[in-house]
Amino acid sequence: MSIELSSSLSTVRARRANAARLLLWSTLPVMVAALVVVPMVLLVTRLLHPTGEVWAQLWSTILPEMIRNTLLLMLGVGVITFALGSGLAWLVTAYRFPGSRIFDWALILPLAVPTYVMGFVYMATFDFAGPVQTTLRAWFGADLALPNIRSGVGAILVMGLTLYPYVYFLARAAFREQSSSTFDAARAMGYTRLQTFFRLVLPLARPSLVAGVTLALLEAMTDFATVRFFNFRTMSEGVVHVWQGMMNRDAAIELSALFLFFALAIVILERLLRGRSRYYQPGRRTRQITRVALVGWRKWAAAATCTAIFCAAFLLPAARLVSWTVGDLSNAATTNVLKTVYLGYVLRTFALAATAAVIAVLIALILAQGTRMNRGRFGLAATRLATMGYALPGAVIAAGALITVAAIDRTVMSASESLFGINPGLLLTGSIAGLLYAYVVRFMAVAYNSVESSMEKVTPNMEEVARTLGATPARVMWRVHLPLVKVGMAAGAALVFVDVMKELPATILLAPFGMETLSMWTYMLAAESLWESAALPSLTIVIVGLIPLMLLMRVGRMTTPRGNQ
Amino acid sequence: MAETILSLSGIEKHYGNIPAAVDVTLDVHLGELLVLLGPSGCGKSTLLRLIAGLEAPDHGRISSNDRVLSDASTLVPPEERKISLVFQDNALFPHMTVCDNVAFGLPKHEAGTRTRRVGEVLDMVRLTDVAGRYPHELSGGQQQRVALARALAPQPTVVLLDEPFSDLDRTLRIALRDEVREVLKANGTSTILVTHDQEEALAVGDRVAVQNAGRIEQIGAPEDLFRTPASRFVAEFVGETDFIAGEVTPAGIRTEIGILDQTDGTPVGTAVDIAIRADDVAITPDPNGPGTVVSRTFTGMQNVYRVRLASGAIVRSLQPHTLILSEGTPVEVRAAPGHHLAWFPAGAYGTDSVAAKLLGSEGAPPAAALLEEELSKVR
Repeated sequence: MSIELSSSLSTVRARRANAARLLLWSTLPVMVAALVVVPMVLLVTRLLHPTGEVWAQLWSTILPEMIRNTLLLMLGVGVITFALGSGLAWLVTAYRFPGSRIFDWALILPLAVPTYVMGFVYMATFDFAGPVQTTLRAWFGADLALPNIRSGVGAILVMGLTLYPYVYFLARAAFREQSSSTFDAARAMGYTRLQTFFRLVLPLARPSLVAGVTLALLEAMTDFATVRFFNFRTMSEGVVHVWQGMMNRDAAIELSALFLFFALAIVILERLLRGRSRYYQPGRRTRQITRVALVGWRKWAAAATCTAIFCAAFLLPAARLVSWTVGDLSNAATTNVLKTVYLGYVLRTFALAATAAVIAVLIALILAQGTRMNRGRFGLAATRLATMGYALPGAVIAAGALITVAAIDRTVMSASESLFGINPGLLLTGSIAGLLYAYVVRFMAVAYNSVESSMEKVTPNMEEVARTLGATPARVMWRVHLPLVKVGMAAGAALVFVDVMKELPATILLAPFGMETLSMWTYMLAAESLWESAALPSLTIVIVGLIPLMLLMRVGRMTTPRGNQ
Repeated sequence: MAETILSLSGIEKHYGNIPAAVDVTLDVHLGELLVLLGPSGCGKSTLLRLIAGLEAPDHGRISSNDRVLSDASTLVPPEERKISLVFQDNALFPHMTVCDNVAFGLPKHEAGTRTRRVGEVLDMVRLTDVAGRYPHELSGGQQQRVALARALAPQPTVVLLDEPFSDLDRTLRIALRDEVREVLKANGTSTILVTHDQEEALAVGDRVAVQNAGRIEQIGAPEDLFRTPASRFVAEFVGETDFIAGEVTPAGIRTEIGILDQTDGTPVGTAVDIAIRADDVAITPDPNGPGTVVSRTFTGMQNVYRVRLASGAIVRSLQPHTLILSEGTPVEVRAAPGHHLAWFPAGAYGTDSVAAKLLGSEGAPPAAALLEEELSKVR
């Protein structure tokens, strides 16, 4: 960022230097956007020359089922997360009941449990051979008919329970931003609290609710492990199956290109549902909606509902993981194996996640500064494209990253051969570069949002005042920007770190041999029904995953000036 | 005349079709406080940014103490201009203490002088006791004083203040603007202050420049601006003015509230609009009077009456707080200015005052032509 130094000495050329700097900074976001767009374009071009027989085979076998299941999953997860997320958020923002303050933050915790961990814990607990069904059969007889959890319903329930916090968190924030004056106005016009909720509060929070449900859906769509545990074949599962199980990469790439349109449809749907409406509350933010104490059976019903959800979504999996881990560690035979491999997995995972986090945050910094200096429609479009990776399923990004890296390798190879007569072989393909590329593309939005929002703290006026006080642009960057943005950079890095650690589909498709991560280890053990052994890596992921949630809650508390506490 | 410290000549700046500076030529004298007054969007803030070097003018030349800051071939970057800036939102650096904020613009290598200078300016704005605090721990007025101290610390040749008091409430605004004026005067600082508040401009400025649609319409002492506005715009913008119709006669200008004893060679029979303010209008209750009280605004020391004349025109009249008339009271209305009033060709909005036109050119163009010209500017 010190390219700007050039302007400080020469006064005559400053005008030209200004223009050059502006041009440089406005092209940078476009270059970052290309990182994301090129793989997707390469993917789509693959669809133009489909390998016919594979398609015919897929279509006649698993493709219709995959598409149907994916749609069912979206529908089920959408309904459950919306109902749970907005309902619980309203309960804790509008009412007081036993434990309401604790539930206020505790109901976010399930976000730390990856869906595949939740999936195998539920499988282990509620399946035919699990303790629940075994106990019930012991009580009521062996021929007791119980629903089969290994089904689409099971998968949808588990994912709904894990993913509702996305909606909960955004809905809670949106409800809190609403001022009590609009709410009280509706009440004064004769609406009950519940009527006001449905007629006013919910519609006003629509943009946040839609955003939350979208995040949950994208997360459900990218998952392949949970649905596989539950024998529910979706698009994501299909790509991994064709890629790894059938060892047919070309077909997998084509399938993921098709999958890409699914993801894009969801994003477009979100934009449509959110509409052009921006529901800002008029004027200054006033008091929040007043909390009312629930009385009688209502307060116990509210407490029981929150307790049930919290237990099902967090306490149960956490308790099972802890007890399995303890059991497994006390078993001498497994302890030695664990000791030797566990540390390796942790170190590899952390190194990988840290590298991806640093790269993502640095690119996000360039992107944010570039967008700041060029606020035109073009710059904004570039930023939007550069951060759309969050909407793309891991398997799709993996396929895109693979063909992009392969294309780079081919170019380097032919260039090197024609220039020096040396064939360097495949430099990037099958290396860690492809995996890091996929991570950065997938989680760029996470890093960007953090960096960008902290950069908002530096107003243009501050930069300009600093300049008039004799500071060169480089010094302004060093003394004003960096100290103010570094917190946002650290937060962004932490979020990316945790996301990478939890990531499974792209990791399993791209990780080179010997680079297996904690999430892969968890998956492989769980797929073999080795629940006890899978508990330790799972628990590690969950505990590290709690860290950014703590950060998130602290930030949430700081940005609510007059909290209800 | 006083020594010139900053000089602008022929400055032009357009954003697309929107003029922000149109042929702006003005000098800032050593130690003076020049106020740039205009409605929002008139280009006054842009002018500050051009002077500070945050924007480049399309044409024209800015120089300070005979050093060219910007012209066709030169553009000195802001950090080398020794011109500092205070914004409305104060733009303090939130991660630095008051002390560090003030020291930001001082050269690093002279630690001793640096500390002494910070102490000096903090003393000047009476903030020594909060030197160790962070901006968010200060009140709005204190924050703005820190911003001023930070701007003064490097001893700039000119300080630019962009609506520095607008974010404060009224009482604090008036107290702070008097204090700031004292500090600037005691320090001998040459200052340009931008504001849209005419009362503030008249109160603090040594000279006031009125800007409209990028163009400087008039520049002069506050009293001159008030008494002899050079354009209808200035008359309307400065000092809450009403207009009444009149006609030039040999005895003076005849209006429905009396004959004004003033002539300046304008042909007899010319229809004019006269700029008249509340202190120029006398009213007395009279059952047969042609005026009717429309409303009364009680301001404490005075009552301001709005009175409808027979023609339908409304004028304001300043009366002592003891005279209380209810709405609908018929009154006798007389123009009693005791000095010449500014007047303009009838109906031509935004035209220069006739006196100014007569001095500057062969004679006033017909009102219709002026109106046409103004309208084309607006388009």
